[in-house]
Amino acid sequence: MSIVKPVESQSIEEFEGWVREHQAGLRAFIRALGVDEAWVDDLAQETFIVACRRLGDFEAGTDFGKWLRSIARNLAANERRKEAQRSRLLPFAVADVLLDQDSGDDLLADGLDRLLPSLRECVGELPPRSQELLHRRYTVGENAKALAGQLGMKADAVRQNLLRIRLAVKQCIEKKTGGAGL
Amino acid sequence: MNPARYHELLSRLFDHELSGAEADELARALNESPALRRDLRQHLVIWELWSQDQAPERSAAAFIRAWKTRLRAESEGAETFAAAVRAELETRQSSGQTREWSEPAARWAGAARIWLGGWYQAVHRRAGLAWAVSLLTIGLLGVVWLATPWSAQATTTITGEAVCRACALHEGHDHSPAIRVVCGKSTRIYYLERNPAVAGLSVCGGPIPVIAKGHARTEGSRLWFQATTLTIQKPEKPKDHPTKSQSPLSPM
Repeated sequence: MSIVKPVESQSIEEFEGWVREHQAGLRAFIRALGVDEAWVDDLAQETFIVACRRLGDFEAGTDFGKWLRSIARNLAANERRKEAQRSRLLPFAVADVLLDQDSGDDLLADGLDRLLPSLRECVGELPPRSQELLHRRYTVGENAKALAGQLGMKADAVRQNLLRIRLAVKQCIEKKTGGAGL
Repeated sequence: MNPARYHELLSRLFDHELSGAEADELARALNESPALRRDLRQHLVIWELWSQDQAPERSAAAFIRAWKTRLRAESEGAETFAAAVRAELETRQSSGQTREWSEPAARWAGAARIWLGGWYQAVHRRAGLAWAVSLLTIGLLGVVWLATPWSAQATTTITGEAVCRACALHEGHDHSPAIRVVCGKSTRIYYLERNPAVAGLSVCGGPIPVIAKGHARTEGSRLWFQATTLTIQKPEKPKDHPTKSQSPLSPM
């Protein structure tokens, strides 16, 4: 993670550079905090807006990414005050654990640039049918029930397939990166 | 918890089908095991990155565009909107928006002009000062009485592009439409209220140039629009989503 001095940035255009640099990692961090996948971008946008407004609070010479993550964590924690159905979090019992236990900072400390190429390679090595399943689940955003209806399978069978694919990809990444990517 | 049960619950979690009891069961296991917590975070991160990399609407370019739109919209706020409407009422010219008055509203505007003219003349005739005060009181009561229906009768015409709140604005998973009006450096988002005029509008494929007529209102910092008619214009560009080659994922 780069050490930056965004307080020197005077315009939105300059701040946009910091957004560009940090958005992928911040969104991944927010997801790892237990934010629902549909709301990750929303919370990340909010984090950057808060950061933009509070730029004067950022201590020059410290880690800008870490500062962003602390803002994101506070915003996610605020979601706990909402009613469950209006919250942007995963089920509260699970989200509480992810929010309260560990910082999650170490997960992406230096691995994002290594993780993505490995992820692409590992998915590329999967059979075409598995790639199609991943595409429909994570690119199109269909859940197991919807996929089951389209593929003429039972939802549990789709979940089992996706589980095997996820485990295979994770093991493949760990093998390629020696665990450093994660 | 054995691995099979953990993965079963994980799959249900990812599919939003975890019951309350299952969520508690998974939470207990996660609380007890740092290794499971790390595993869950890794799964979340891996597939979040995959989604960002593969889904055009989640690309870095799309994210930054949505962030800029939101920043502009939130920076302006409702006060700016009110000021802009006032300015537009005076000039009746703008790049994306005009305001028309319904017949009753125009009648009341005419009546207000007549009343103001009478009050001004009465004040300037010193002997009529008491009469002026009476006129002023009646006028103020009239303004209070008319304020709500007057604004409700104002019909606003918006020219902009209909966009999906989820796909284009990245505001959760509600794929309902909004209208984005860009005027120079200013961007305004009107959230469309559900009604028959917008029922057939499908916006997930990209922005659609539209002209909407109806009534605008503010709620919190958001602008809501009750469309009475909505006309789709000839599209200028087919898609909001950038191609893969236009949206490389920025390295961290």
